[in-house]
Amino acid sequence: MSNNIKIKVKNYGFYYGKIKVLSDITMDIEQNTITAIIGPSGCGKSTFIRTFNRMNDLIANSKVTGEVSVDGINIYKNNVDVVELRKKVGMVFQRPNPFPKTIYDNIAYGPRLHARYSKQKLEHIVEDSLKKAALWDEVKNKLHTNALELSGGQQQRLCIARVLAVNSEIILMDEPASSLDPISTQKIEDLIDELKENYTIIIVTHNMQQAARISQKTAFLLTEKIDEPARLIEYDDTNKIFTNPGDKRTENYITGRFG
Amino acid sequence: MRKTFHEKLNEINEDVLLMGSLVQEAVHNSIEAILRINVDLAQKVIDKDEKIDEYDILIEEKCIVLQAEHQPVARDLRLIHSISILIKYLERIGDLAVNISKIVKKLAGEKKKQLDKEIIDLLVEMGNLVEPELNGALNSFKNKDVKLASKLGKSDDTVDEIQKLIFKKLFTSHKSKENIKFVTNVALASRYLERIGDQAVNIGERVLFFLTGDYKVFHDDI
Repeated sequence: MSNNIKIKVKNYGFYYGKIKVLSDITMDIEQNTITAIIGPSGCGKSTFIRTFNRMNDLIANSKVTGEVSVDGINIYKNNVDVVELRKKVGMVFQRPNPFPKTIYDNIAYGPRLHARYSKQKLEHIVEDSLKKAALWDEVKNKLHTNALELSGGQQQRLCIARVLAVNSEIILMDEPASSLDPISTQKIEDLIDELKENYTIIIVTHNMQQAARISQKTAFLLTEKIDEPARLIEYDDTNKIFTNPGDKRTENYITGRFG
Repeated sequence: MRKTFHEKLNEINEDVLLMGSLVQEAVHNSIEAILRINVDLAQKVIDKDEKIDEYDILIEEKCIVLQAEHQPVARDLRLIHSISILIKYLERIGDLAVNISKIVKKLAGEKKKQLDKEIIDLLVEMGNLVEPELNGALNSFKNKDVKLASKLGKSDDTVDEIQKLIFKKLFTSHKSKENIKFVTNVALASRYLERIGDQAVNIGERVLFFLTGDYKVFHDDI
């Protein structure tokens, strides 16, 4: 295995009960890259991204086949500590979901769960996480106000800061900017680009231009026939996908000819 | 929304083809004009060039607006990008046809008003190679024809050779000082015709990029 492969997916399939929704996905995700997952609505992009921190475990009767390894360890083996996995693989959702607590407590919540820190150390984690999430300057004077008073864009950056506070190595983002205005979206995109220096990021997006702008790799999922599972149609460098895709189906989708 | 995009893209395609047909006509007429030293036909080429220039600006503007509105990707992006470049080649070919036509007007004012048969034959031969190059480039665009676009540039070396031959013949057979202007102008016209061939090949390269995503250079454009 190449040293810079962070996540390895091999013959991956996913079932909701007896219904197979994803099939035969094999791909390597490189460390410190942004990988965009694109595809029509309902093709299983969110289901796929939730594979990497086993969020789908919460769905009754769901089943995973194949292998998903993070840092060479199959995360679907029985002895994997799911809480530790979710610390390592953080997630940011479509709608910002801060806890109804202060800004400070939102960030400190995760670290407090995982370890006992001094007040000074916790303050350092909060400041550091907010700085990394490019939010510190905007909130440093109101750390003890309710996080829900922040704007949508600020709340989303707070949620990213919350992931950074627990030293995640991989960040999953499920349409993180779809509910934000263009300026907030740009801030999130700039932040994602900066974060790739230290994190491996996988982002689901419906916005083709966003995928083209921020990611280095793009994976295209597609359900070709009703009642058939979605498959990985193409996975390549983003520049290639958006200028000269190798598969006609990818081209038809990204140029808006279907989907 | 996408229907509007593809409708607009088709409209730009049509504009390119209309511009292309004007350029084809200009090249054809400029060759005819120089072979017969036909000032009226030359003037027609000069007058119609304004329309070619208008298409150049119009298409460029439409491409910019379409990119700003729709942020096209893949084949659509390559098409719009290629059009933005190939209209510049078309516009340049139009200018070269005008240059030839201006030479026709100058030649008409010279003491020596007829081209030697040998030079006429060589110019005809050149035109017979250059015009199909241009037509082929535009047809490859119109019909999205990779094979045709790939074939362009094959006669480029022959065109260069003929042009060199014209130079040689002109400057060895017309040594008298009184014909120097005449000779220089005919030599320049042959050079413009050769450049038209080069630009047609450039269009072919752009069409190939649009169709395949690969950059292929047929010749060094110097």
